[in-house]
Amino acid sequence: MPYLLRRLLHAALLLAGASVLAFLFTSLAPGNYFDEMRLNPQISSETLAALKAHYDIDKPLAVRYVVWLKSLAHGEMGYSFAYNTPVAPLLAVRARNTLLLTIISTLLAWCIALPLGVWSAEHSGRWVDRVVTGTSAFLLVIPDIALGLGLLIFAVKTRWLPTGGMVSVGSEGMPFAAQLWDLLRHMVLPVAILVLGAQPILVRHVRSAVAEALEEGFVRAAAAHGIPRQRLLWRYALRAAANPLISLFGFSIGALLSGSLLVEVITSWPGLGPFLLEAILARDLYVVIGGVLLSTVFLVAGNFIADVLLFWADPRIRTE
Amino acid sequence: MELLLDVQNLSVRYRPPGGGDVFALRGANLQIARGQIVGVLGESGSGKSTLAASVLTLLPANGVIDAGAVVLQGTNLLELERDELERVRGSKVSLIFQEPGEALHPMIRVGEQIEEVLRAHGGESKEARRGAVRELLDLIFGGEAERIYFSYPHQLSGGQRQRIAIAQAIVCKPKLLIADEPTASLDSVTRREIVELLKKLQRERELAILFITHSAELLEGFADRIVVMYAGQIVEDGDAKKVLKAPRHPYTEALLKCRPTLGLGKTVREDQRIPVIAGEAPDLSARSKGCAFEPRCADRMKICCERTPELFEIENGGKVRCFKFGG
Amino acid sequence: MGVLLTAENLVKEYASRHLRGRGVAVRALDGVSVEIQAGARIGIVGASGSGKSTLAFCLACVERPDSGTIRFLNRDLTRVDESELREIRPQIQLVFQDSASAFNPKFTAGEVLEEPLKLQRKLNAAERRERGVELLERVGLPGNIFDRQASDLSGGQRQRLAIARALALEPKVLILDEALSALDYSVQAQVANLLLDLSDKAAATAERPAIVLISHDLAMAARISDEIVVMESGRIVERGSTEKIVGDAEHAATRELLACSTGMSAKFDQRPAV
Repeated sequence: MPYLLRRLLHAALLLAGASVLAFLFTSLAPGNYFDEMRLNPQISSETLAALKAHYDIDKPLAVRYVVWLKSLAHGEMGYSFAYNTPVAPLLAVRARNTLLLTIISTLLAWCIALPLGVWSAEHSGRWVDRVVTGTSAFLLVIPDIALGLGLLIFAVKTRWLPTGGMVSVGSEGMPFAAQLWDLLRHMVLPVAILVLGAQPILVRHVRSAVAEALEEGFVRAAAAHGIPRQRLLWRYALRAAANPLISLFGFSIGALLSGSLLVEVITSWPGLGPFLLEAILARDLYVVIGGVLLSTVFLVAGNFIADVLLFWADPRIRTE
Repeated sequence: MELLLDVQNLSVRYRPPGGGDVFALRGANLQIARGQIVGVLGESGSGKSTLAASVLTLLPANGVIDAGAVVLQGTNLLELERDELERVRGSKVSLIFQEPGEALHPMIRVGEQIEEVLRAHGGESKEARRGAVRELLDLIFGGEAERIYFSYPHQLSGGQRQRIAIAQAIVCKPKLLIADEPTASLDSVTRREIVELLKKLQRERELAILFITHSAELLEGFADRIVVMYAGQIVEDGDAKKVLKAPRHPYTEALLKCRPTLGLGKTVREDQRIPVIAGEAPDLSARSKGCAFEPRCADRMKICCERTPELFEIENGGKVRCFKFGG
Repeated sequence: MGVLLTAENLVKEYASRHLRGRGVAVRALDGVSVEIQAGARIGIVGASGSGKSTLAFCLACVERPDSGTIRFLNRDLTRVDESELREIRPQIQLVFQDSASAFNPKFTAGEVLEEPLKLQRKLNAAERRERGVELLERVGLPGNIFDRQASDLSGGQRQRLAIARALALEPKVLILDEALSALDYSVQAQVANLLLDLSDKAAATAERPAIVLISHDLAMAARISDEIVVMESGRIVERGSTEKIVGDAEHAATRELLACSTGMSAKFDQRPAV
């Protein structure tokens, strides 16, 4: 299957390129972690020099890149200046928290958008469709931050939901079921914001792809053969609408690590987003590069998964 | 002859979004008997496709049935609910369209697409369905059946795709097949093959066929009866051989003359042009008082623009909508 | 009369792959040679897959053959560079079967006609409009069509517009690829008569283009051609004057095409043509 092989190669090249660029740009940004320290009179310049030498700050870029690549081969991603620990485990924990949020909200968003879009397309032009498209337009227009803050205020006022964080204080001591419940309660708010934010785009795409598919000759021909309406919608129209939706799905996967920054900050969710933000401000070089690379891996993987799905779904691509 | 389908006084109108209704079908009456092949001859705008679509209530969203009934063995199809209609479509009456490339789902194997029709109309198991489809493909494609079963539409030629569409239409053994210009996008050799296939199916399954076309030569040796349509009305209805050999209605005459002749050995003179029908195609948004063909008719009389002629019976059993034969 | 366009030994292959990756090369053209004289009327007929459309595309310089030569007025088209080709293309025009997708539906008929004239940059706006109206008249379309949207025209009108656009650049060769096949018979007759008018022997040689009609309908091709070329599976299997082909066909493919298109005409009792 040269098609898939080509896409895999493409993905690999993309990753390599991204890593180089990430390294380049973060290193080119003026200053480094230790510049902050220079302002601190308590730290002597010898200590500073020793730290710098320890972290190879003064070595040329290419050398540092190669060293970093080598350590990557061992599964390590460098060292965090701020936390004084290896980057990989730090990122792992944060990434896990983010993924918990984003995987659930992505699944939920698609599970809501698909039937809503199909339903809207089937009743194209009638009031159901108008309500759905109107609500989508409305949600699209509201900035995520307003949405987030609005829901936050709602949570504060009603006290039904915790207003931030991932777990309650002292939750480690609780029995498993209670811990799980606590976690879920904390997730409601960020997941709600993410799902509501993603809805308009997904619903619009599903709706227009399905509406277009419903106009196709083969749907009319299938109706002429007595294929029942429901089957027409799901097996014929949605299937034909798959191509653009698969690409969109690939994009959803790609954004799993990077799409929730704002929400995490608003709800104080200990995810990758705020962590990276902090590291960027502090010039914690290897954390930043590690985080960028991880996000890129997801983006590239998302694209590749979309390519694979397209290959599987559309026989015309397979026989190209 | 047992009456299978009885279209009574059917009138259909389209309402385009910009306004201005189009009267596509006006008071159409048509009877089809069991196992009979009826050809509908007409040009674009004659209402032939509208007639085909109306039988199964498959008009586009802006189509309205103003009047009439379509009676299939006692039941008026126009009065059925959607789920009842779904039971009729494909199993009692089937419809195939002009563009075979567009009639098949591009992402599903064609064998499966035929099975889908069976699935929609019966409760047999998957194996039973598969067997029935294989059998049908063997009948239609012979040796290539196996390969074709697993193919996707884009891997097949236009003729093969149309044959798959036919297979879908007859797999549930309907009594009537409506074919709306099924060969228009195929080349002349393939057209003959499709017609031969339909003839074979009619013989073996006592299948009545309503074959809609603008190519008169396809109906020769194929149709039992021919119905000619113009501007939404049936203008001639009679035995196929008679209509083709000795057309009565001025439009039918003029239409058949437009076909290019080969001269068959005789030289065609340099300056001979092909006969055309004078005038422009009729405007379907106006309801004229008189005969729709009158502005273009070489035989027109004074009465022709005053009243619309009915279908008059003529001596050989046919009907003609022309004042030359009655009124 | 001079020879305008010749094709010698054209070969063109298309690769078509099956689901399981086995490559199968299809020879659309397998050593085809054809000669078109100035002012001639030639019909190229065959079933689908015979290669006739591929031949049309190669002659019109829309596709390049894999091997063989195409000569236009003694210049070898397979050897010239892009700029020379650009000069030659206006002289060989192609009209397609599907008029609906042949031009931008949002354009008015006038804009469709003016587009090739604009690219030539020889006329100003007023002159272009004049020429546009002239062209409409030449193909038998009423002048008031000029400002109507292309998508509002009927099939026959669109096809005539396509021919008018092709004539705008005063081509020496007009190739029509199944251009009449999708039309109703009465409209086909009108467009066929138009082609006969355009290539009327009575008109001066300089003004009339050579007409090459590609069709699967032998009857229609015979009606407007003096010479017929029959193709099958990428090869020319028979060629000759129309009388010969119609009256005394030799090859099986020709006879099959005759049977499929004249079943009607052979038996139908025709009154003499007007």
